[in-house]
Amino acid sequence: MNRLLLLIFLIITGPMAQAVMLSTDGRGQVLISPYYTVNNDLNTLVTITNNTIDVKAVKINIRESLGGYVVASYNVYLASYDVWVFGLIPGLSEHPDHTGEVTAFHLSPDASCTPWFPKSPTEFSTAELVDGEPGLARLREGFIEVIEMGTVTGQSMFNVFPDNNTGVCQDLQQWFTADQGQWNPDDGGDLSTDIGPATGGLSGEVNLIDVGDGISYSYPMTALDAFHAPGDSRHVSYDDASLSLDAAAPQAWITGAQAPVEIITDSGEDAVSAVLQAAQIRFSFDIATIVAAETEVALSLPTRRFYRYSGGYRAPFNPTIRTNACPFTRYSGTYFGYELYERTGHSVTLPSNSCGGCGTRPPIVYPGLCGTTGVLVAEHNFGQIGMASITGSDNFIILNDYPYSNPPFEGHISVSFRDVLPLQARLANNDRYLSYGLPVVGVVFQRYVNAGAGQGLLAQYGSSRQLITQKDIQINQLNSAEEVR
Amino acid sequence: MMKYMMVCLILLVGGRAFAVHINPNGIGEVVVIPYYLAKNEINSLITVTNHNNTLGKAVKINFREGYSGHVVHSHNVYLDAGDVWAFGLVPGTSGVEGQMNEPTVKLFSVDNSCVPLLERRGGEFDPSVVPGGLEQSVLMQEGFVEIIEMATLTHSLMFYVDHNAEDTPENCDYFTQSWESDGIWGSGPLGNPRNDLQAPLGEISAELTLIDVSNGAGYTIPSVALSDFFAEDQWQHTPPGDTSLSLDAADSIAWLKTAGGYESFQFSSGRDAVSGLFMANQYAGSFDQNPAVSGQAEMILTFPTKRLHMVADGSDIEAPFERKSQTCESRECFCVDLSMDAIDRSGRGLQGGCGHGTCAIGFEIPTACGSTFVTAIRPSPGSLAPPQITHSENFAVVRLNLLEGYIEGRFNRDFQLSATSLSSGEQVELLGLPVTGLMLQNYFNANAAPGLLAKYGAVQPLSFKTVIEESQP
Repeated sequence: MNRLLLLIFLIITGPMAQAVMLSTDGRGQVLISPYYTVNNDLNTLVTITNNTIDVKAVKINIRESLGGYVVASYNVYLASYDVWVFGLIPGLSEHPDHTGEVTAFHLSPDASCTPWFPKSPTEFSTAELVDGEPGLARLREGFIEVIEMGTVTGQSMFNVFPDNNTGVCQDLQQWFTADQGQWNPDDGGDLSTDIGPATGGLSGEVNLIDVGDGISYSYPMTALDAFHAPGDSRHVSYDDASLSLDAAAPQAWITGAQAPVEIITDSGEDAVSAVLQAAQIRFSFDIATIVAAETEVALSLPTRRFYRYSGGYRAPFNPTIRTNACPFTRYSGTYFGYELYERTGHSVTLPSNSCGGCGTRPPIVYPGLCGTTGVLVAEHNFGQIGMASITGSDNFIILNDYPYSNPPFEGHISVSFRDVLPLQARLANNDRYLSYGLPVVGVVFQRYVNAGAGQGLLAQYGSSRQLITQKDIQINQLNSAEEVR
Repeated sequence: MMKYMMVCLILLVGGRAFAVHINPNGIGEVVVIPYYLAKNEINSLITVTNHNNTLGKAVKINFREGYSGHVVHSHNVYLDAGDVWAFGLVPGTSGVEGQMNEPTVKLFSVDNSCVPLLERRGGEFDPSVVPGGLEQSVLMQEGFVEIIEMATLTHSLMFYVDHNAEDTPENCDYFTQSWESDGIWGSGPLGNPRNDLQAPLGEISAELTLIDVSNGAGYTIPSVALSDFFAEDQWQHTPPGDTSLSLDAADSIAWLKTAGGYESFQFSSGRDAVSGLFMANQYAGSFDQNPAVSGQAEMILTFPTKRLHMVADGSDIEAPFERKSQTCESRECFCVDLSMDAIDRSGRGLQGGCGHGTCAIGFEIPTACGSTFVTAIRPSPGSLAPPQITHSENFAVVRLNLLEGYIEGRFNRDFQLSATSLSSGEQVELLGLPVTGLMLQNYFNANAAPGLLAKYGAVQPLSFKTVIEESQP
């Protein structure tokens, strides 16, 4: 009877306050691009659209692949229905410690207002790369955060409209630095002046363009809705890169195969991690040599750095620094196992010492996913390419079909993270929520070559597709343990 | 007392975890692929994957032509654990007597998965159901795809789908025989379509890639996955060729994303529940038609449940769709007038002085007819010729004096669909129409290396705005 009353109470009180969730309509308050790269002569073209009439203050953080540190960060102020377009291209560094090394540059032909951040080619910063691997390879790939900080209201919104952009945007940027600037906290200003609650409605898309080879890969950004608590905004200065995914309200709606469930987390990063968490990732591959097919999967763990502390990592990551998986300079990693299936469904990478016809297989050596952004490369046993030839990643792992005697060229791969700990939260009724896996976003790249497209013509086809993810959630009810999925 | 009973009723129903919903992780019981195409030199390559590594699946695949949404091809596939079913659709001319040399779609596969009664070496789509029949058979060269996990195979059936050393299922004929009158799923006294099967578990994913062979461009079409599609114990397993199983077989309760989070809603039918999941009253996608890169863009809208809202005799259509006027009697009565803003990258509408970009464009307003509709975006002034990427037969051309930007589209009427919140008991209206879609974009690099065909194909899903309002008393 008490349980019935409790349930009635929960229904009467209705849903909890707004909670961060994965958007199903492509729009949200936060966008995450799972991957950018300037390796392999690829350019990354990013388009952010404000689909609302609201004028928006948006933070862009570009984060490198190993530590997830910011290498470029700025504010962009989007007018109603405005679009912000920028590109990331390779170039030679002029940084004193890296002169002549290949690095990444940001540039934009767009008129939207980006206070104190130039539109001309701007080299990525190394200022935050305080530890880990030296060299610039780590910042030539990574992931991108786009965070709506709030809506611009009052008279300030008229300084965002681009009708007479140049002069007015200069006025806006003075608000951060000028004496008594309205957004200059050092001189009496207040960053919340004329900033209203975030309203969402941002969408984003990414195109990797290989100009020389005539290939492009397009993919949507992952959108998170209800990131901020209702009525909240978080407007930070143009040079403040601290605003990140941990700023989420500590509540989340978890969706997937199971019915949506709302949870209360200990922190904002836990809420975002729970939304993105996957126990398994799956993707199909095609590496048929007759069409020179190649498959690569770019993965980012966008909240990983929040779980790192001096002694290791906290859940959902394994607390032990897995130095066997990855070098410490790559911020260690997470072991994972993978099963490779032919199109017939036969597993060719069995999790035992028996491999069906290939004799006794050697002990399994689990690979490690190092750092924050990495690339999995599906490679044929006999291919021996030994590199990520689509993305040109410097942080890649080869998944081959060794030691199967008759390896397939097509099929699908299931990846499971090992030794991870459950992320813990609770439901509104205090039931305990446990979910396993890692918070991950990703995209699958596929390339083919057709040598017979036309007389003397070489046609290369590039495409990208969604990464399939599966959750592993347990909800332990008040007095019993019940596995939901 | 009645109020108390109402609360208890809502409590009991509202507590039900299983209700159809969109799974953003790309896997589910149902996958809707908003566009297939087999026309000119564009082929569709489709893969359907069973992610259960232990048990097989019975899956229904329906190809629906783009105009009226009729099934022009359907087959059942019985997948082994972890199995992938891969096949291609290519355009061609018919070799079937009575429709000789007419445009058709041919299915090819070298995959050995168990697909009863399927001709894998050029089996042709059926033009007989296309409105206009043979004369309009070109219409079936584009449309959308429904993929429905009907059931999970129990261990007793796994022997037959298990692939042997030759990578061939042990006995695919068993599934054909099972549907015969004396088979386990047949119409005989011992036959039951559920024999040796159990409920689906939502473990299917699917991909469709358009390959423009001669132009060297590939487009992977984003799909929509639905989980918990069937209501508890309402799953259906229908024979190969039976096209009756569709999106209206869903649970009539759906989880929808609202401004405050997820809520479950009671709809009047499974059809409406699925329509509710796709409801949007605004859609948007970016385009680039810069001549410097020979940019071309085409926007595809698919209304996956539209035909289910037509009344049986085709004379009328039910909410949220509406006929254009009560006196209208042609097929175009059920078309949907679109309102579009073309917005430049600064947020300005095409017409000066609009400021907030909400100006309606002052030229061609497309009317979206049928279930799958293509809008070709062209420079103004420009040609009204058919779309150059899809070569669609069901299209409109919008000419814009704008090289880059995005299209924000709406429907020209206040369409709405009713539902009841299971948490509050309030009746609500979902505004708009059930729609999904994408933007196809290509570019051409004339300065690529000699001998290299540098045509870039890109696909982006459209973004949508969903509005749920409390019903007015």
